[in-house]
Amino acid sequence: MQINQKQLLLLFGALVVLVLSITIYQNRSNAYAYSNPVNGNFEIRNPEGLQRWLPAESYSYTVDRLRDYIATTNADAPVTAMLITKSVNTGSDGYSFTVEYLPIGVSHEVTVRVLNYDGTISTAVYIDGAVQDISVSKETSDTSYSGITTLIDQGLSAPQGEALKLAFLKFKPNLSNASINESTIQMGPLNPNSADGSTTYFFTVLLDGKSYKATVKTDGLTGLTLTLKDSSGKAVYSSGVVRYGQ
Amino acid sequence: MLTNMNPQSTTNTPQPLLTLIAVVLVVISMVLVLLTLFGYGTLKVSAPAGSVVTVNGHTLKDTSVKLRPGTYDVVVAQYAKEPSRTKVSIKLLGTSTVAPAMTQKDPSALVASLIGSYGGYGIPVVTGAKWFEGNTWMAATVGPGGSSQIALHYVDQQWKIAYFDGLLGYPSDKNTLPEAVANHLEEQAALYAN
Repeated sequence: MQINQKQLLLLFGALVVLVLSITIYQNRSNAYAYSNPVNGNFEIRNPEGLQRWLPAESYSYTVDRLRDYIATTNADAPVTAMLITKSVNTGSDGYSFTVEYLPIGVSHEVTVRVLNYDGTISTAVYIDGAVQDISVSKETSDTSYSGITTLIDQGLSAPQGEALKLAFLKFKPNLSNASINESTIQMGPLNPNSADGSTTYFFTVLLDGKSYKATVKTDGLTGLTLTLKDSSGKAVYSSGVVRYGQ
Repeated sequence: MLTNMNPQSTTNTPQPLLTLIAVVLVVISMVLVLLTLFGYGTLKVSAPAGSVVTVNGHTLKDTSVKLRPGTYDVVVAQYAKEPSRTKVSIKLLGTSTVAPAMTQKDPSALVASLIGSYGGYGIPVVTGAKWFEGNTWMAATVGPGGSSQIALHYVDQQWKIAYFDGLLGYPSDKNTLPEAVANHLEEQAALYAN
């Protein structure tokens, strides 16, 4: 069998054009396709159901915790987006919903609890019942804290750590920095006969550079009372019971 | 493999089948190029004034847009209305119209999106809500566990708390409110005082 060489060239050229056309077609631009970020800053594709309830800072904090969670538990998963697969339910526990990570199809139950303490909004995110880091945010500025983790290591609950932040802010609403001197933390004697089961912690704390002697007495699982004395030993503040998460 | 069944053919004899194949390939290529350049459908959105429309998360600048054929999530949101999400199929050279029936915003959700919680009482429950001045003001009573009054104002493209006597740290001067808004709050306060 023999065929015309010009025809062969023509056929080859047509094939090349077809391959090029297919390539261009497959890669044609679509400005309205979902974005698939590769840098980990993936978003919730249907955020409006959650955004209609949560303050903006609480929403952002929730999204960050959801990103952190999948990065920790499925480090190699190529997640590009999240989807809220059930309606956001409101109840005494807060806002509950199910989130699915795309495209891997892993789902988790999420509850977001928001607390407003005289204008200071704090947010706690629970994923499959486990609390993630808790934040306190203010509209005017961010407050940095150090040493609260050490208190939690010594028995303070995570919600009480949050309540302690609120107690500091209650004392000084424009607080910029609260630094607990970790080497001064002491636990009060445990009293097995105590009816309320409270625990007391003593430590020194710098609030915007000013030193105070602090006493924290726990109240239940989520509350505490903070009292502060200045360097002369004079009592300057008692928070009353500050509770987180109710 | 292409074969020439004609025993009379030579190297220089054109083969109709090959020519036909080449032509078909070129036609397919041209169709693909045309689809790449002009393969769109049209989406039209009919929404209340002040709405923000997003398609797959991208905000539209106009109420009409050309889209590649496919399925898209269209969300229409307006400051005083509940957001509406619609899945829309766009066909080649076709036109699809989205005209969601939008409902008034849930006052409890609106208040929650601003204050987060009603102190330690949890998610706010709003009663007696009334809208004013083209839905740019909303005044209501906030519970549970109390009967505080709140007034919200839509200004600078966002809702702000103009009055709230339920928690410290919020504006609490009724004299700054429009008269109708302040009157409604007075009526609400009287209602819960009785």
